[in-house]
Amino acid sequence: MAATGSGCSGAAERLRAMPAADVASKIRPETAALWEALRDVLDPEIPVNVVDLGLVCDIRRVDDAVEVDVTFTSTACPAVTIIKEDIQQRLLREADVATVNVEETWEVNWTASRISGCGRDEMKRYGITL
Amino acid sequence: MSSADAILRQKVHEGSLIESVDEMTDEYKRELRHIVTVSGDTELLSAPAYYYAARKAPSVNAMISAMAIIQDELGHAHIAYRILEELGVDREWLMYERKPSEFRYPYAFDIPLDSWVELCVANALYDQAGYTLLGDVFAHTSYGPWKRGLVKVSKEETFHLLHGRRWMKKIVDSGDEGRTLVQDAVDWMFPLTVEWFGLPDKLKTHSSQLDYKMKGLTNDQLRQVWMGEIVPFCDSLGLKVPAHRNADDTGYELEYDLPLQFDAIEKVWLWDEHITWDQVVTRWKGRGPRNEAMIEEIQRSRGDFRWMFKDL
Repeated sequence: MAATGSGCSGAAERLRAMPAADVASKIRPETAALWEALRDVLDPEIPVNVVDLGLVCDIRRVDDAVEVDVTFTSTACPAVTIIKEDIQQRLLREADVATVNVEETWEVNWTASRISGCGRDEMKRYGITL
Repeated sequence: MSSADAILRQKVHEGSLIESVDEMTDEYKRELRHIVTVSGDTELLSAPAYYYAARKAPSVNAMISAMAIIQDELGHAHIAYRILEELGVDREWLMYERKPSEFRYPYAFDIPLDSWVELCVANALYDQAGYTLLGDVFAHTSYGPWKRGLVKVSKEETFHLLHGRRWMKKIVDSGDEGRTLVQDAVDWMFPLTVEWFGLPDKLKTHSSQLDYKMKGLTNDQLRQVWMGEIVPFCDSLGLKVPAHRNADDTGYELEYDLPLQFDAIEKVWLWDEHITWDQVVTRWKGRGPRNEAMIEEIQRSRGDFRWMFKDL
């Protein structure tokens, strides 16, 4: 996996740039490093990471077992399998993580408002404005 | 060469972009029409070529991915045909009135993809070829509207490659049966994609497309870029391909002499039957087994509803 697609640096700056309040409130001390790790996972079409795109909705951790709730930009997203596999593979590289279960959730209605400021900057660099 | 043409060539080689038809010479416009037609036709014909195999997807999610790729390809064709329209080419004629033999796209798409495995190998090998060619155009082309249109195209093509590579790995990792199926597909598709890049440079001593900076690399250079991606990838999966890194580590060399005879029905290369490039060009121009059926698929329904569009 390539380096993070986010153009922002520094956890505080990135957090500040996160518009989806429901996500920011879910970044807990025991999962903060996992959120950070998922900034390495890029959308396979537009190379912006899945956290800045607002796809990751929640990460829960019980000991070495991790559960991730992830949504997609559409129910017919062609990259569902690839993104889920990438999230799982990336988190399995983290220390003390033995299992990763990635679940799709449609309770979160994804809109472009979930894309962080960093994500927007990155997309702009690719010629995509929102 | 007219003096206007000489001035234009100098201008584009100094880095200027051509933005409108008014800035073009007739020669530039003719060459641009040709290269964009090949690009648009290639995108368009990849759709029916992939569609037949996409119907054999092993899951609904896999089918959605394949159909999204096909939709992307049609969108890419639309970009190219839109550019051609600006160059004075009638889009209705381009899409619906040309004969099957008048479409300009790689011969590879005329060879049926009969299975999901073959579709995935095509996504990895063929789309890598398309990405190589369009990446070069994006980096070097002197025609501004095409350069900007390719931003979206290159991002989407990246997904197609990734899709093909992921599935190839998944199928190879599934065991001997899967590995054999992938290897069989690579065996006929690899040399076909080597041919995709056209005549070797030693036979194509002059390229107007390079003169006008519509692209930046020669056929052999593009073939090298493609092999630089595909050979290491296939090696990483333990798949055999008839090419390897050369002794002085400057590029890749084929383990067979081009060109070869191909049995399009059996989808096998006749490794002992060497032919001339003239014979290859004759094969390309004669088109392969699926050419007429694919064009008919694209044009058929338009004919049925022509009465509805006659005033539009």
